Amino acid sequence: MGVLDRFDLTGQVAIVTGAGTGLGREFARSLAGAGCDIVGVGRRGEPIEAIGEEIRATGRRFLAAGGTDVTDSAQVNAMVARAIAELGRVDILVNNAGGGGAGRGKTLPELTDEDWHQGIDTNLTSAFYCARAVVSHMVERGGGRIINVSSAWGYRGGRNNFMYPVSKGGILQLTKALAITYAHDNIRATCISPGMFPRAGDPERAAALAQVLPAGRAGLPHEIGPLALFLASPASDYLSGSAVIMDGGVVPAGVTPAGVVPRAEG
Amino acid sequence: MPPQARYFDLTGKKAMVVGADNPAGGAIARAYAEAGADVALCALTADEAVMRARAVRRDIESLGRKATEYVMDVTLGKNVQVTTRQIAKEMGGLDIVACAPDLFLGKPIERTTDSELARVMQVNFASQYFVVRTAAEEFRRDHRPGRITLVTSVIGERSMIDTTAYAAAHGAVYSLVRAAAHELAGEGIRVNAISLGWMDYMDDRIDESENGKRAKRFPMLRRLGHADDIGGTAVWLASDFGADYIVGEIIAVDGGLLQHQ
Repeated sequence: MGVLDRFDLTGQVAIVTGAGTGLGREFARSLAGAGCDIVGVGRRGEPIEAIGEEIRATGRRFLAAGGTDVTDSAQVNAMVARAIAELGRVDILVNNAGGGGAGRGKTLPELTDEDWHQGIDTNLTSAFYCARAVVSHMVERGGGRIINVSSAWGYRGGRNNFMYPVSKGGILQLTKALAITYAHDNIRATCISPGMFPRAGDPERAAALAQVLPAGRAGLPHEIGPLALFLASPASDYLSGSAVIMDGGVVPAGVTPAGVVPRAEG
Repeated sequence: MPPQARYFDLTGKKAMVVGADNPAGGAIARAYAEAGADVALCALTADEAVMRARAVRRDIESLGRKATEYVMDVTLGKNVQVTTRQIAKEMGGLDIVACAPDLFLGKPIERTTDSELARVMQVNFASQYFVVRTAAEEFRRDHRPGRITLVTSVIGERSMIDTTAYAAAHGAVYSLVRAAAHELAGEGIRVNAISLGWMDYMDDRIDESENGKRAKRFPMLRRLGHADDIGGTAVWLASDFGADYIVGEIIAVDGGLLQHQ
């Protein structure tokens, strides 16, 4: 098989949570571009319908699962059951849903129990619920791929930032647990750890980031999808349990502020 | 061309693979060619190495791509520089460089001699340093956003008895990847690595004894890697569209070896 054929996902079905916005949209686009039908999951209906229209126009099937709260396991289970019933199979799960909003701007003593649970549930519990909901089906089918989404924040600390980095670190461990538990069932679990991918239309933020990143720029939305395709496809068959950081060099660097060089040599 | 190929297409790219006579280097060279690149195949001076590179060339030419074998002594920085310059001139530039040297040494620390240590460091690490330094020079000459991919070993990250010299050399490669990636990132040059676990051609380090069999069963995926497990990762890392924001990453193609207890 030529190497480019290893990236083919024709006939497969992928669930993408948080598919209506941001990186989730890019994951859905890239997987569909390689032949996947998509189950688009999100809290709000409108963004899911919008990405659904786009994907259907390319000739792929799209099952809209807007209005789904992935922090509610009953809703997650129902969504997966519906995906299997209507599309016949689930091959790939991309656990992308999440966000940094919970408790933003509060100091530690100000954070409430609700803030903590919301942050952990949105970013970590949701991934657990979705993985639990698909795994028996994947075992029965003889295989599958679970792609979790962590963050550069899963590796380093940040001031007054608790729930998001804690969850994203937990995602790395969830990935390893899934990978080793289901290795013999031909289920691969891997993880994407994105760095800064600011929303389009925030050029000031992007420019500010460019100063401090080794790559000199923020991530561009269209760059993140091909990574999901790589990890979902036979091209990455011998990888499992690991995370790929796509962040323009932030995590490997950082012993000095950006641009600092050692004392000049004679 | 399949639609998803647009992300990973290497048509029109010029690639140099150092260590194309090794199974990993040969697999990477073939994969680059399958994705559309022309490839320069660099082998060590030994005759059998050149013959193995010649076999890779024939495979690549049967795909309709151009390939030429060269002899390069990777232990000499000057030789790496001179041969690379020649290759770049003859190919009309370089976009992609991969380096896959490998010299294993399984010996307890008290019996590892100074010269064995030096040889292991030279072949496994210094060669990579020379290739990165020279590739950066070539990419800068043409203002190209080049791609450098080094092949290393999971032993550079996690330990195994009797591999102190080899482990140290590959640990140095891990650090080289991060430092060089950081330093070159602002110019658009990317440095990343593929870290290999137990591959089915590694009879230089795993034998057929019960001891060897235990090692072979150990990867999470319960099998040894094949050379052709590497190509997809190599092509993804070399692609314009797919991997320009990957900086200083070491991708473990290891059957999950690094991830379990």
